[in-house]
Amino acid sequence: MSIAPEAFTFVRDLVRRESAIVLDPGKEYLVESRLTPLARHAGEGDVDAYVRSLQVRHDPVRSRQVVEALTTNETSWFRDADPFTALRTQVLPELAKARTNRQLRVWCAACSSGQEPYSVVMTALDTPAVAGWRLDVVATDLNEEILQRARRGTYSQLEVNRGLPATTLVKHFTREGASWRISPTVSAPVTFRPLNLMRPFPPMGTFDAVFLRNVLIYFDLPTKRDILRRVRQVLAPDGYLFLGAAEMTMGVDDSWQRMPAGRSSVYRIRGEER
Amino acid sequence: MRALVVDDSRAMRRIVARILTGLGYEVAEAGDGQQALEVLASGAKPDLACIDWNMPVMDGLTFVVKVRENPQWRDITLMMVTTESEHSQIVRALAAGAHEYLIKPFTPDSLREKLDLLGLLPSEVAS
Amino acid sequence: MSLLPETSPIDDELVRAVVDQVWESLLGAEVVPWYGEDPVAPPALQAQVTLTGDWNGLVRLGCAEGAAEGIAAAMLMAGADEELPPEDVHDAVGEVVNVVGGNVKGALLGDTALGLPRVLTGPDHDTRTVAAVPVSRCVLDWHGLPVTVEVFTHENTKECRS
Repeated sequence: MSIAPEAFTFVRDLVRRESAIVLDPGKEYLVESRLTPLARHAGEGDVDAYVRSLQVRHDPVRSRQVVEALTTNETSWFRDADPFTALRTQVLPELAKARTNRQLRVWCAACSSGQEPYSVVMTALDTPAVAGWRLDVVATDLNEEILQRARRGTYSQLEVNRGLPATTLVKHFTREGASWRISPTVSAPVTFRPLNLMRPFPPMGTFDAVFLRNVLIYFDLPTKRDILRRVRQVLAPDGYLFLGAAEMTMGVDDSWQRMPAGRSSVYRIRGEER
Repeated sequence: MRALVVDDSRAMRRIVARILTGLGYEVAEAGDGQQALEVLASGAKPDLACIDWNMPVMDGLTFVVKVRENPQWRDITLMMVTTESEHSQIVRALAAGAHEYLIKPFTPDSLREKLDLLGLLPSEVAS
Repeated sequence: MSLLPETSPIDDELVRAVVDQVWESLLGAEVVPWYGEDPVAPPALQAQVTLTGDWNGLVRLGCAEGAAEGIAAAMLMAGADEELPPEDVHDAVGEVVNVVGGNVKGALLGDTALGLPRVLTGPDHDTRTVAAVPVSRCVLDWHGLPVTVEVFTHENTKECRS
């Protein structure tokens, strides 16, 4: 059973109006899975009934909840999978050829509860070209509370179910009560620290790769442009920038060049801007 | 895409089947490993089997071993969907031939992400 | 070996963490603690699953039929107009206790097997747990009805800590 086409159209129009985020056809599944908890809370039998109730009577609170449910980023391991495939098969091997000091520095600029930086480390550990290299991952977030959680490195059953291959789970995690703890091999290369992307960056050195995924969508155009400009200053001239699947630099900061990487894309600083 | 959902709980079969149907799968169901083998023997060729561990008659781990023994069924991707959640149990299931492992309780998003990892997400819903 | 008494890795905090996860993802509901009077009378319905091996015990969910119907409806996302037959209700709460039991077992070290869930109702259902020691008990509020989740252990349980 899937969501009714009328219900999907209604939700798509609502989300586009309120957030400028466009839900393409084919995202019916996303709408159904994200709105199911809301429908349950509201005592409606299913998402269709829930959406119908919204259509019949305008309810600003419920409308906002729908928009939030569809635009809030949930953190999962190897989120979207493709960027990490690109990291393993393309970006790390390229960097391995270019770096003679056998050291790599990566910045995760909106690391939330830590899944992204830990996924970067697990990917590097899985990449023969950089085996034995020194890896330094700086993971930042605005929210100190979420950084505390990230530092602890323990995740609930529900969290390890999210996008983490079973082989990776058994390799890098141990069971601890109702939770799973990430291994010291994976956590040791990661340093967590608070950082506000809107403010000038503190001294952090230069990075070979920067993950700035699904965070620019929250900023207006001048702020996006300013952040991308400052990211260029901390990225090595031959470094790589990863953005979210729905984000791009085009029209925001044209100093970046988009490069296809497997099923996704990475960005590099254009030659003349280096 | 076709899936076989093997679980002794009707409620759980309904939950998993509903998610898979929403993703564009055609779903068959079986209440234990023996029934699931009969479904396969009758000629069904699912792309994916979602398999509970603890079931009467034949448990999910035995079913995985039986499927792996038969070369005719080697194209079926096997994913355990079970409340068995010890590190050692996951290792056992993977060693027996399961490709993925989803621990109950799970959310629809997590099932979808597992299918994405397995390359079994119908392309029109891949995000 | 320590001379201090070993504590079980299963305690209220662990069970509550498991129940939170099950309620959130399987039932789409938040856990609400029960603030009413403690339900002392045996519940009309009991769903239970046994753990046997290095750790021996029982995970049990007890509630009124009405609460079980509500839990099943939430789990199956049944519409308000859909009346679930009792066997579907029992199957659903059996699966809830199965998932709780599996995750409780996951916190144990050693080799312990999870049984198949059983649902007991009616006048003949056995509310006693023979020679069992309570390990954990929480009472939750399901839309105004108490739901107890209890873990018992048997005497012959070997100590194993996680």
